[in-house]
Amino acid sequence: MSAWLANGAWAAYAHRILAVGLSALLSTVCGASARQPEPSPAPHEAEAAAAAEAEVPPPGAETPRPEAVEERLAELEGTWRESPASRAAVESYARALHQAGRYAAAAEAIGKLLAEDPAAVASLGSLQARALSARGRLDEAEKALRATIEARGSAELEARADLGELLFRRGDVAGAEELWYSLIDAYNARERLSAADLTAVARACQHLGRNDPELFKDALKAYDEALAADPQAIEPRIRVGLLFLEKYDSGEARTALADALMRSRESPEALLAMARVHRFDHSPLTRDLVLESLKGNPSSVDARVLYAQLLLELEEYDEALTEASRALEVDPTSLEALSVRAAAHYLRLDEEAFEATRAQVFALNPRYAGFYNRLSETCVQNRLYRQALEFSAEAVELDPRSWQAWGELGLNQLRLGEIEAGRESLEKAFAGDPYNVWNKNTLDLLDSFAEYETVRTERFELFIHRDEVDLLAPYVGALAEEAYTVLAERYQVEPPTPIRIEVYPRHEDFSVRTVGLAGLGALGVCFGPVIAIDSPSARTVGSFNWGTTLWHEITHTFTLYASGHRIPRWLTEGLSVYEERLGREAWGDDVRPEFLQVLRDGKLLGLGRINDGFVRPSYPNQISLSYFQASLIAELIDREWGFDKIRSILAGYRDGKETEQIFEEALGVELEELDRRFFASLEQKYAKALPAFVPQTDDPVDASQPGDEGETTIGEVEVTAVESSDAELERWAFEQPDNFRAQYSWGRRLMELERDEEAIERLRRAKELFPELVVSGSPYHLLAEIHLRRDEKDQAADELRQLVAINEYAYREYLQLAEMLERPEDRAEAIDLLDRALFIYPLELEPHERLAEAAQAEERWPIVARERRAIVALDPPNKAEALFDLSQALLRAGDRDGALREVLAALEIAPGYAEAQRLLLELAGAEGDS
Amino acid sequence: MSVKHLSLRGLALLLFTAIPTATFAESHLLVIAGLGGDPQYVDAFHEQALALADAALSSGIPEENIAVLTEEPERASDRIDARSTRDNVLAQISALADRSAEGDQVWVVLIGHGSSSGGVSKLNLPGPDLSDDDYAAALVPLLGRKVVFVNASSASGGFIAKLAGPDRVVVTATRSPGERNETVFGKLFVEALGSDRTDADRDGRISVLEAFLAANREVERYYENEKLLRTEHAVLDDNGDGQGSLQPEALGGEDGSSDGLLAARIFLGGRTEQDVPEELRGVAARRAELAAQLDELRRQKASLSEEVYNQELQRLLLEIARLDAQLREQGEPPTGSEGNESEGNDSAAAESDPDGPDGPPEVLG
Repeated sequence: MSAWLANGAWAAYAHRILAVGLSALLSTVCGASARQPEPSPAPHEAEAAAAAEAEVPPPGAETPRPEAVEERLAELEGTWRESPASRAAVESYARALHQAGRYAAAAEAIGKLLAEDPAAVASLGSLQARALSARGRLDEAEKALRATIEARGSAELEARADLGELLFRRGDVAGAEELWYSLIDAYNARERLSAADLTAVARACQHLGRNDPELFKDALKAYDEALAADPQAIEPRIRVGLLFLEKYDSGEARTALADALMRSRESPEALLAMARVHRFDHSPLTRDLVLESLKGNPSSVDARVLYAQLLLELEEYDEALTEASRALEVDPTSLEALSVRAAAHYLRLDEEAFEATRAQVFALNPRYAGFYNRLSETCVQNRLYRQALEFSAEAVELDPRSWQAWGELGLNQLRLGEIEAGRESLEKAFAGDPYNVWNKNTLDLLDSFAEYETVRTERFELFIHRDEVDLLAPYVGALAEEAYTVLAERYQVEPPTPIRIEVYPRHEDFSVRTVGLAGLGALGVCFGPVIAIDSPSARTVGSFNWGTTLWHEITHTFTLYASGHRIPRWLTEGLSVYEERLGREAWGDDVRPEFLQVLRDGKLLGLGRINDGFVRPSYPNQISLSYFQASLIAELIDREWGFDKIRSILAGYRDGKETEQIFEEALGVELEELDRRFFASLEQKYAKALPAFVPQTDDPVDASQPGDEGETTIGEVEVTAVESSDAELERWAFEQPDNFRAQYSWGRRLMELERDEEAIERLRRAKELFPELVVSGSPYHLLAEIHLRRDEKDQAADELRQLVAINEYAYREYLQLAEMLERPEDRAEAIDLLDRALFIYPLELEPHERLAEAAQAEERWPIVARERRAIVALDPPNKAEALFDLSQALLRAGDRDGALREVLAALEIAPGYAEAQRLLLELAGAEGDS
Repeated sequence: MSVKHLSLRGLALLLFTAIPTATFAESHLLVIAGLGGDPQYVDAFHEQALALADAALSSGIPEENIAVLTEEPERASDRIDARSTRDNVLAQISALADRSAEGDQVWVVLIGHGSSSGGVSKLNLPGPDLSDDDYAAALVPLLGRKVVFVNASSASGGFIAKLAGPDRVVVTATRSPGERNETVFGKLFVEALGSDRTDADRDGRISVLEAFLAANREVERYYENEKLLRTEHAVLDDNGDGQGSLQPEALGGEDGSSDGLLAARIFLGGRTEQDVPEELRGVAARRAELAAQLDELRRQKASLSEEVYNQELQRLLLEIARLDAQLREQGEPPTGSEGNESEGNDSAAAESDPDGPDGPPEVLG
């Protein structure tokens, strides 16, 4: 059988590599510590929720109720009892029982019929075997399948596919493949095949794709034919979805599964498959879909295993173990359930139980590479990158044809900075399975590495695109070194060096580096010894501060190292944001109105469940708000107990202790008490801001502003002035002096009316009520504007000064304020402001020129030299002059060799450049003198 | 550690052979501003034409060597020679041929609206237009001059293939006749010729190439700032192959055969060789030779080790700096002979010490 598919969906798929639909992807990816974009919250979460909601069966009439299932079963049972010898009645009843997870009853019903009608095995033997197999009764299942095949009836091909899977499950790869290949022969030999037959052929092709990836296309074609033979069939649709998902194409998978669910909303298999897609997309609805599936089939081992995996992602190891046990109660031979149980033991550092489970798995199937694949995946999700690499290496050792394992190995190697080894592994994976989008994208990215250059600093290896390396490397290197020094002192550890920092000018490349696909919302990611961040050129000005991002990621390197990579997600993120705040003035998240809203609404999670906010968000922006919340917890611990307690906590995780024990030992309080103190501290901290946003019943806004059933959401008031009559606004502001929106709205209106004195009063009040509101159009902005038009430059500067002390993204305002500081005595402040602006956007020429000039006036030659170098890197219109300026700066900074090098570069472009020639002669003369 | 030097004498001679220039070269300029149509364009073309004439005057081109034709000459009859009709254009080009000598630099700049149809491109003039073929024919008598022909109008791309030839720099505002939208290149090219900032190599003169690249950069910035799709892509041809380059280079590519080499050595005005006193012509010639060696060295950069390249670079630049200092001491701008190298430079180069002050160089091998 070869290349059946000429122009099918797969052909289109194969060319749609980077265009895969990840629009709904959240940024909690693969357990990596990914920083969220700020200040604008990632819209992805809401989109994901909306998209997912569209596919989940809505609660209500159409949602299958257990009673409905029971009624249906009772009806079928009645038919069966009336006609126990009817093959059709038995089949319908047994299928319904099987779908509901009543495997024993299904097997029994068929068994009774076969006792009376042995010939029925030709059509029902396969179904009986599935029911037996689902409970781990593999010998009996095998016997039933062989009998079915021998009977050469309607279920023969299905039985061949099933038997192949059973043998494969037991490690008999050759036996399995022989059966699967026989299905291809059967396809080629017969003229007409049923939908079930074609589905069996497709499954065989899918399995055999590991030997010849062309067969994946054949699988898809056969599924298409199955659907043509039976347009209402569900199973082919589900399997197509899973095939696409296997190749990391969640968009196509989602389409196929939505189609299946349209036809059978109650199908537990379809719901479970859709749950897998949502998990892939990090959708918050994954859990709901799994539970929905379990409602239909509480005995589904696959659903239990998936649920256990979700619990592992949430770092709820005990609960994961319980779920794995439930699966094993149904099927004690389930390799997947045993693997997930082993993963839970591994994460709990229960070595004895882990080894026992491992032995159990390999007793059942000595060649089961899936065990190590599961371990590797789980370790990545829990930031244990080194261990993940070791497990994926074991997987390829065990099964050199596991292309998934080769891919995992390659990605794990890349995560640890082993670039060439990673490339080699991925090449193998790609050769074996060229349809895996992650591998393909990553290899494409690796090809682009030829365009990057590596720069070494004392403790870092900077990997930056050649177009940007001259500009960025000095800044990135200096900040990274500073961060290392500061954090090593604070955390009392020194992570191994060099630490690799990759800077991507295309966000898609950063995304592929991180999650293998385009569409990641994060800005930076840390794997411990390897950090990847967006370049400032990858983002719009004012939406990204590369300095804070880098500081954040380097903090991860420290906290991961100090905790043996066992720190929970919430804590490593919280510490990273907290350290940002300590890194520079204005850095780190500030409180946003929506945080106050969720605080007011009681939606902030306690310590026991805070990880859910990162991994399983249940409302828009919960992830970014969780970052902020976690940072406040870190801040509280530092403030109330001291930083040495944070070090103790990290050591506790490193030693494998449980969170409760760690916090109790370190802080002397139980988690509940810490929660209580934390929330009390929030109430105190935001005592003024909270009521400033509580909606009042007589707000003029009620009728005109958006809101759910009259409820005002705080986030909407950020910088939106209420439009109402002047009289109404004035009355509102007068009656509610503690209401931010009232003060702001009337202040802004007064500004429009040029009633400046009154406007200033109201806007100052608004600012006082919520000083952290610094987005565009904030009271600071308006006040600065009023003062400027009144020619009150000092007051305007003061407003901007307050603003930039809080807002780490206010690029234009940094520059504006620096420009206003013209007096010599203000020059140091101007230099500081321009310097900080470069952490936001270092790609514009003018700020560098201004900074160079200001620093030159202050004779701060190292800064002048750095800035002159940046100007050269930005390829200015008159490059010779820029090089000459750099040369002069280097000379003044004491770097004669550098000065000579640069003046030669200037003259290389402009050989007759008089000033440069004079400098060259001077330097050459000095050289000759020496 | 021994350091290898380049043997550049032969290369320098080759370079001079490749770019023969006239002794006692003079510069001439003819500006032709076409039909504006709307008053705003009439104004704009008129202003651009005069701005270019001003820039030429400032750069030292004698007033009698400058001719300006516009749609409405009466707006500045003291500065504009005639209306830009077909006959007047042809007459002025003919006059250019008469008053210029071999080796002179002749600039012809077209400003206005262009059109293209059936493989024929034109600049819109008051009355009958002139096609690209007409201009090509009109320029024949200028053989032996270095001709800079700039068509800054829309749809001007067709002129490149028709006018390209030896000793010619042809610049068009668009890379093909199909780019028909109004262009900004002309305005920016004129501005570049009048701005000190355009002098990227700081030699006190603005070459055609410098003006072209500066204008192109500004065109790009214009479309970015206006958030418009770029509808014009200026090109330059100076190797005669009729294929304009978007990014010509001063070195003319790795072997000097690509576009840019000639354009980097033709300037709007600037000093001419007769301005250099007799007693300094040997120094100036040596200076020109070193400049040629430097160009060749830069061309070979990719094939040399960094150390060898830097050593040789420093040696050449130091000698140039010393010669320039000598010229300056004598009150001579050091680059006076660089852009107007005479054919006599060959002999001057041969007469001077070709190995430079550091002794005979080793041959790379």
